[in-house]
Amino acid sequence: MRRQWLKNPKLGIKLVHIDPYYNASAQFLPGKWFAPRPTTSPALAMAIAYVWIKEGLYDKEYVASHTVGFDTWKAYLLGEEDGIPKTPEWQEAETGVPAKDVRALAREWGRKRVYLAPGGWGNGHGGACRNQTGIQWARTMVCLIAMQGLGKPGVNMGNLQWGSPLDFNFYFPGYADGGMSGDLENTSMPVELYQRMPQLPTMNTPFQKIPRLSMPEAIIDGKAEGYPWIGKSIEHQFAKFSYPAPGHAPVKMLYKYGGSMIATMNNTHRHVKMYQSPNLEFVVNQSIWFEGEAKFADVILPACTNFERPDISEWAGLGGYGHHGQQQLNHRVIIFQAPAIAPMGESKSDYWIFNEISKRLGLANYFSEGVNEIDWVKRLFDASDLPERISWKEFIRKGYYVVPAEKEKLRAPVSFRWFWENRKKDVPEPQPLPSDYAGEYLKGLQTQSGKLEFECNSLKRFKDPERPPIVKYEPSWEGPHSGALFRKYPLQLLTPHSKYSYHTQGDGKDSFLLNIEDHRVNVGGWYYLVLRLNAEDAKALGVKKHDLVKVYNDRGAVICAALPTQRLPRGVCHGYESSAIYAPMGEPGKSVDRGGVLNLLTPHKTQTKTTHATAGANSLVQVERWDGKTEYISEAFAESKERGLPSGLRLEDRVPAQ
Amino acid sequence: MKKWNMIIDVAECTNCNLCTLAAMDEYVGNDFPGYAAPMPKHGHKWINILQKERGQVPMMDIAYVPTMCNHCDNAPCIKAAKNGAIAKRDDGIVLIDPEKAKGQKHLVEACPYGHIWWNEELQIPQAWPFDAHLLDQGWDKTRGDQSCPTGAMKTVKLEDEEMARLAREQGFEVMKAELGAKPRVYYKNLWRYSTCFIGGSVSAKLDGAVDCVEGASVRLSKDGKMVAETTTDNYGDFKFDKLAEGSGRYSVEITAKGRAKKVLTAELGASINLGEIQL
Repeated sequence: MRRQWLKNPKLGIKLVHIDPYYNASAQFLPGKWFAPRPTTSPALAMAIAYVWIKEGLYDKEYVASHTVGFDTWKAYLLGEEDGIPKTPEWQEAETGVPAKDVRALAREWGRKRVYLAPGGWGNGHGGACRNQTGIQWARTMVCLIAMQGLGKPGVNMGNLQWGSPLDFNFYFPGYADGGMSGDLENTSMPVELYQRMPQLPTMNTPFQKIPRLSMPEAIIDGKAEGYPWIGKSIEHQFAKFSYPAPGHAPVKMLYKYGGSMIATMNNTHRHVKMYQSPNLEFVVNQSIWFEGEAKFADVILPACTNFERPDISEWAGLGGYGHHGQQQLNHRVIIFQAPAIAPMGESKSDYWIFNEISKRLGLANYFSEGVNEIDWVKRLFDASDLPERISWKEFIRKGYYVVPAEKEKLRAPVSFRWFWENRKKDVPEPQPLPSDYAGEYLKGLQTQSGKLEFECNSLKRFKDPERPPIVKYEPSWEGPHSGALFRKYPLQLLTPHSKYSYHTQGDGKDSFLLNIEDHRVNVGGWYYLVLRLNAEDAKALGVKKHDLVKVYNDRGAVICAALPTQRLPRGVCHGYESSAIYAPMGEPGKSVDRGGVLNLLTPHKTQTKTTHATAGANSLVQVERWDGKTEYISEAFAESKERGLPSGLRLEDRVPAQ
Repeated sequence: MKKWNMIIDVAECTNCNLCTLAAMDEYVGNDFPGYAAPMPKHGHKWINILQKERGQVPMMDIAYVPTMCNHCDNAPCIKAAKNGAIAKRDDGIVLIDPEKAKGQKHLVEACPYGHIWWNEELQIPQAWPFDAHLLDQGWDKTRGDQSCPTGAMKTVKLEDEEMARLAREQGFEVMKAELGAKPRVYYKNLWRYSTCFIGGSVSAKLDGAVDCVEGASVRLSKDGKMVAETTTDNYGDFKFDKLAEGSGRYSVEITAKGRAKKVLTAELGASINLGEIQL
């Protein structure tokens, strides 16, 4: 909502929204709407760059002084490489956006100082970067802003969602900073929290990892391989790893908190199959809610909500995972979560559960360090900078502390302004690390040349055919170019994050959210998830508002309540993912789901073979009025043979010979 | 005496639903004797957000309009109620007495705004009570106002004359004014919901390519008389807004330098995006 100032007529700021879906920002901030087909935005962006080149509407001086490799990309755009000039007419065939409009946008943009806001955080996000061409899109966004002079006054990029002047010198740990875990290897505890709140270190000795998107294959097939995301350096992304790891036993047990994987991961009939596999011998589910995959567990340990146990935390404090997440808010607010009621039914706090397990392993003293939950809350309070500002008694009495805003003279300077002005970096960010500087520390960007690179030196070093040194447009492998698949499933389904819930947190559970018609609709006593369809497409399908429809492909079939709308172009439909309700109407995997788990339909193939980037936000589907039939077989269940470890293979067989 | 009013700015509502959730949080499972019995968990929308999509992809907009009991000064429900079950306070707030109103299902139909809800379990009619129990404790705003992130929902306590003056100066409207119920909920920018637009995008072929035509003159006429005039922007776009819904046939005349004039007709109905108009 902080973007409200953009509407101030005195500022005369014009807005252009580019999104297949007329999103919440477009609704709130009136402007021109471009609706490219999902996954085609890189083509639209390249056509803009083409016009800039042809009409001299970019900052040539900046490109010469602050970038490298422009001539190579320019040649590609002009068609000198593949004989296809990336004109506005060329992109129209891809995106459906008229050439004239792209030309007009390029001209308007090239003549003004423009802030580029690609993507968004929080509710409703998960779009352009998370589909099959996400990597291309991200790269072209940087290319565009590089052509206009990133860091010049009035020329910058971000999404206008972060940036409130908060005081980050005030220390309070974020949710991945380690807490009481003692984990020095997999959290950012060593950076600060371990000094302030010394605790018994814990160490997970196995180094075996499973690529997240391939978890079902790892269990069912007994093997998987993938690439990690490790933020230490870009070279880490090429460290391929395999499961099982040498010398390690295969996974036989899953201890899972919550029921969200089926809702939030990709192509999740695979996860249904995984839970049924004899290779996964034992599943424990520690969960507040009996939803999602909790139903597949062998043992359920009911956990209470955070309203039933004491805790301490900061709103949007993502430290250890994301940098300065609090900047999405107007203030830093640290709260004491006082238990409002005692744990209901048989549920217990997570801490109690883990301590009881530790007791039975003879490790309780090491886990708890002999103190209870409220003691740990106080230890964290003491470790933070709170005691300098407020007493413990006052903090628990009041329930919160609002950190005063940063003094104006101490506010961080504008992003990238230092880069444009050829000075040393003067904004507080953890990256790039000293080792990422090719030249003098703090001078230049974290590229090999220290400049913006149209032709990436790093990719010249690592030959990856799916990520050429210059960004090229390669149509989505699941889209209008998919031939027979596209003829079978002619609608592109967008599945961004939910507007009204964060992951599965707020959805389902017979909560108030069921009453929001934009989220779920009550048809005949069941709350169906809303599926948005272009109004003309709906008419052609004979679908009216709130009709029950089946949206399906080879992976899954979901029953939703239809909402014909003008918010989408033809050929595109839209539904929020993260349904907390998983409700197969017959056997799981062999029936339709009416909970609304759209992630049963999404692809799990990574964006490229050498990354673990998800491409789940866009899938090909068909939609039809639901005839009430519940039979459906997912391709994950189509094989008649049960797949497990090849018979006769023993653990000893896996240990490499000395 | 100062009295309570609500001011809703339709241009600032995003359908975030924090106001509806705040109402659910306040009233579901909570009893406020003398003010309101608990709201049922599902089925009632004491704050109900209407929505309207205007136009067609890609020229469109969407208006969201939070509605609630209007706490009318000339309330039809008060007239229809038996045993004084509904009463208006001196400060403008109208309350349904949960005891006296028992069994009076006919009151649901008595409200022309659809904002009396029947509680089947308790057998009473219910409406949004303006959070009177909170205001009486010293709150200066409703929970919906407090939750609203954009200022689209505001509580004001003013003398009736002052409120009338404000409404006049800022062009506020009330719902179904013609009924004479005299609502105390005022709407700013309601035209976003209740009126129509006629828009389009002018283009022309130049040197083999089709381009947007900027600066073309567009004239909107009805029954031979000019209604409005504008020029196209750099996307060739034009938009005539605040036209009455269902007002019939209009003519759109487009003139651009060096091009033949083009005339189209548009029939309202609802908002129309004429799409690309190539000269």
